[in-house]
Amino acid sequence: MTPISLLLVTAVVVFSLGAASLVQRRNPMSLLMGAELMLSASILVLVASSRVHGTASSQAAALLALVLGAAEAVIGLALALAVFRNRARVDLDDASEVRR
Amino acid sequence: MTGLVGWAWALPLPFIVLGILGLPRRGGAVSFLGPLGVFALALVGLSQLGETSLAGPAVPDVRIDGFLPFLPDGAFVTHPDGLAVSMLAVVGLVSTCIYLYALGYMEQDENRHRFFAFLDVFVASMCLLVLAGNITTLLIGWAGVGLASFLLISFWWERPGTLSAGAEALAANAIGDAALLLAIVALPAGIYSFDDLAIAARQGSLVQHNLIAFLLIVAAFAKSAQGPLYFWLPSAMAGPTPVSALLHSATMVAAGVYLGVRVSPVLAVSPEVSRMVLWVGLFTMLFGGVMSLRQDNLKKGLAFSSVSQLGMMFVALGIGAPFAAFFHLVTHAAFKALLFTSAGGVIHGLHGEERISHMGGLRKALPGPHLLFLIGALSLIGLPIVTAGAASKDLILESALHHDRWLGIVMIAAAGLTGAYAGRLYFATFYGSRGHGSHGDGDHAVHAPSGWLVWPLVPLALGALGFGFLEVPGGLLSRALAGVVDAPAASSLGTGVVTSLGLIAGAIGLAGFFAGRLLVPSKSTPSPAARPAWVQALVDVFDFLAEQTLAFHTGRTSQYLLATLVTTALAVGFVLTRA
Amino acid sequence: MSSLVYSPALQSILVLVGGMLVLLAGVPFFGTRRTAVSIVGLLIAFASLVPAQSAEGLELVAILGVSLTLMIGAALNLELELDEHQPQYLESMVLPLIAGVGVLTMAIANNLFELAMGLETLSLASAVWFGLGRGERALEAGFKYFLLGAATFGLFLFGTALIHLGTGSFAFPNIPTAPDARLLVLAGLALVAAAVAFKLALAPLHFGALDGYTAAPPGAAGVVMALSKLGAVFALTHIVMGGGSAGFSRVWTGLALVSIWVGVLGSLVQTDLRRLLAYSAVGHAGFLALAFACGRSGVHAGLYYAVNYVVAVLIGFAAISGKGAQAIRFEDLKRMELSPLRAAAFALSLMSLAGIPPLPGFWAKLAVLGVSYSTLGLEVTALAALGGVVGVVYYLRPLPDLFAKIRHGRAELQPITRLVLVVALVIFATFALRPALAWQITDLARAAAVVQR
Repeated sequence: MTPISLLLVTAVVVFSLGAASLVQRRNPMSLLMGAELMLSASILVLVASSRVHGTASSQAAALLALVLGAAEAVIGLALALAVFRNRARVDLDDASEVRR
Repeated sequence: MTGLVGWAWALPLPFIVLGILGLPRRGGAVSFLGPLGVFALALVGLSQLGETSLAGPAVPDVRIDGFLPFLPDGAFVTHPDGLAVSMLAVVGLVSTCIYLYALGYMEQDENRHRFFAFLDVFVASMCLLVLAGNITTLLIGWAGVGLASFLLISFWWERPGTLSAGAEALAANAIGDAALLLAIVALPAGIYSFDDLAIAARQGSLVQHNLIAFLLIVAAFAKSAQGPLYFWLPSAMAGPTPVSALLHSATMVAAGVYLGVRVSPVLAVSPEVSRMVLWVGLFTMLFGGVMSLRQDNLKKGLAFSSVSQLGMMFVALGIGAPFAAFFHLVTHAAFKALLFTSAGGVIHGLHGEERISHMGGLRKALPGPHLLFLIGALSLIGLPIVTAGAASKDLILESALHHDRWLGIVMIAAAGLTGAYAGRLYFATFYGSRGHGSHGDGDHAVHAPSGWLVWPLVPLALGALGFGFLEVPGGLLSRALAGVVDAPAASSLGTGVVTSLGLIAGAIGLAGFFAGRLLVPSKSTPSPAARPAWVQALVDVFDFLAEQTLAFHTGRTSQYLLATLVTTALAVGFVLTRA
Repeated sequence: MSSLVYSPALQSILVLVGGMLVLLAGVPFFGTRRTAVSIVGLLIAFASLVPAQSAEGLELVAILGVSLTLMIGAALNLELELDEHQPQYLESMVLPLIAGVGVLTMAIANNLFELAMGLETLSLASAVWFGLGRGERALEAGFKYFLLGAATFGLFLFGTALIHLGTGSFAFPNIPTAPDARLLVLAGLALVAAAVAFKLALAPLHFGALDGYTAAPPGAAGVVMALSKLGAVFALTHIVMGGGSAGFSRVWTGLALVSIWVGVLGSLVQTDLRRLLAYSAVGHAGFLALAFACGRSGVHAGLYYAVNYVVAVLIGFAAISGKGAQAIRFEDLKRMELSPLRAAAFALSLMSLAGIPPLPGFWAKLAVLGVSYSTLGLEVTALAALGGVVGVVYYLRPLPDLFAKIRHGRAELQPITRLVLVVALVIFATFALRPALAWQITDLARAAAVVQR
């Protein structure tokens, strides 16, 4: 296995872990971590791609993606805090008033 | 002046604006000018039809090219040919009478402005439908009359059942609209108008003509309440009586037949579809007659009669006699509108009572409606010589006999059925004694109709008696329609007003009429449910599916995430396995 | 020089500067004059939205669509502020501006990564705006929308990265022929398309948007609905014109039909007015997806559909979101006694969404069905057409209630909102009576998108 395919496989595994935690977890914090994990996997691929093609564009994109991820985390934490502030238990599916 | 004929559909529009502004103070008092103008323009068009000048035909098209640039057939065209102008005259005449009638009928209603505005929407859309030169333009009017029909059926929206009746009409119409939409997109390039369609069909160069004919006929079935799609028309009687008279018997439901006549060249080259039209029409004709015999509600009885008569027109279309179908459409518009409006006079006199078991003996109390109803009923059963219904029905029977002996015999026998339900409704309403369901003492409870409920109907009565002469002596109608829909060869018509066939059918009808007296219900029986089982089943299925769809939306974010990610995974998998 | 002044990026920056000014109005120094100061900021933002003469194609469509959307959103917010002091007035003024900038970015994007930035800007601003509404429901809807948005953004970014790995650039990809690169690009495109489907509210990725539109604050739902449809359509235009649609068009045809029918079935027994419009967004997403599933030949019809949809949906939400008339259920329509202008606007909007000729919604449906018949065949088109017309039944159900109680004087809009509503209605009427005009505007977009390649 070439290093690049190794990187790719790692990225796919990390990505799947992130997606799995989105499906599996009920705690909003774990969900946010899952989403961040998916972003990290993408960043890994971007860096790998820069190695393959020898371009700087994907490295720049990786940095920008970090910033986007940070912005996302800030807003996500704020929203999660606001939603679950008044609840004793922190379970995602307790907030399911809007339905049907 | 003749250039305006193609714009006739715009005439009712100013009155919609007036209605929105709440003018004039007596709602709708001037609205009749719209349909009257339509009628006048139609007469102008009729008088100019044959003549052509150097500049082209005397009654020019209105044409806006590139109106819908994304369609091959994307022009906005109104094409006032003989067929369109004749139909326009019918629509103009009947609606003028009914506007005046509605002024009396809706006098007490505080929402008159809205009522007349909706009627104006209807007349404008109907005129556009009639004048349309291609399917796209037709579809605008087609959907417009469907919308107006819904709004008018649900006009008394606070009464139970009106909204669901309106929804039924919308649902049935939706099937037709979908078929028409598909027909538009399925039309091959190069077919820019109905004329092109007819030419292509006659030359045999129309690709997919079976598909196109089928789609168009499904649309016609939905609009004209044929076959399995009949169910919405009886329910539509929940609307005010002028609406039942104008939309749901005389003009709108006839739009399906009109479309069938328009595209009869395509039917002619699609024998399978024609056969389907014949059988569905025949079945509907008999079924409507039998169902009418079982109704306790006067308006629903008449509604099933419309279903049956429209079925007869479709039989004529199916056997390739579009001229006869159109002729019957014209006379039917007159006598059925007359029947409904005079029945409305009775209902108005009885303070909204619609059950015939609660009527009876009204010929003294309501002489005007009585006489008018009788004229309409006699025209419906086709009393020879003196009524218009006889002339047009005669033509259909004759074509049916030519087509197939047994078909003709069945249809002649069906004249007895027509007579029976007409007689049953007539005798139950005007003879005998008031049913025991009636409260109040005799004629005191009946208030005499105002002149508005009688005099505007006189033109309709004259039409119900005299429209037969449109064809028989000079062939006025066949001359107007020449080149669009050709009348059958002169030999079969030459016998004049009295044909032996007509006499036989008339006699059978009259016998049925008097036999109908025996069928008068003695006590109030609940009418059988108008909604057929298959429609109910379909409604249940849709309700079930809707409930399941809603149950899927649990509000739980974990399930939403699962659905999102699983769908994505499946999509990626699908794409990769097919790569 | 002129290229610097009129560069689209500068335009976006100026809009944001205006937005910052609006936020500044909140400092205690301004006190009760915050409304006036915020309006100055808004005016700056809108002034910078005036399209440059050189603007054409997708950029022009985006600027026109976004300006109209933002104007209606601003008017509705201002109306609530003038009616009663809204605690979160300034935030709800700025968030739509940010979301609008996101959509503009998506329209003028030159590559997938710029698209991702625009997408994320739009998502985050919308989620926060949803959360600003009163009560737990709005917060919950905002959080759901955020989470699903974050998940789909992860998909988008991963897809973009895979495509870069396959092609070595962020340009909107063609499907390559080399087997390794081909697999990477196809997988990447499927992921990117899934994220766009979320923005479009395409079933079964519609849940977040559906709940968001239902529980969002009054002015927000319609505006976000319009902005995200526009954004998604611009993204799709880029991707499809780039030649990437072959990767997902078969999947999308299926999803489009599912979406149309979910929209129909969900609305069928609905008595909640906002929920009805939310489900209609799902159904319309199906028609948009159907257009883009047709590949390049469907792009024009898709853009045309989106423009007509946006105008209709904005008018509808504006009519029922203003002062004294926050309709929730059908019965509320009776109680509200809408003014004639609002009743007419709402009725026209519903009829256009239902697809009744001669309203723009119908022309758009016709355009999509036409291209779908010639590309995807009779069966798909028939299923879509049937779903489209069955919709008529539920869209028109509120109409009798609506017409029943129209009174002057009650539930009247502020003059500013009335003005904006009338402007929108004029555009609507133009699109209804001159369908060729909207068709030409969206055609420019196609021409420009081709030139960019």
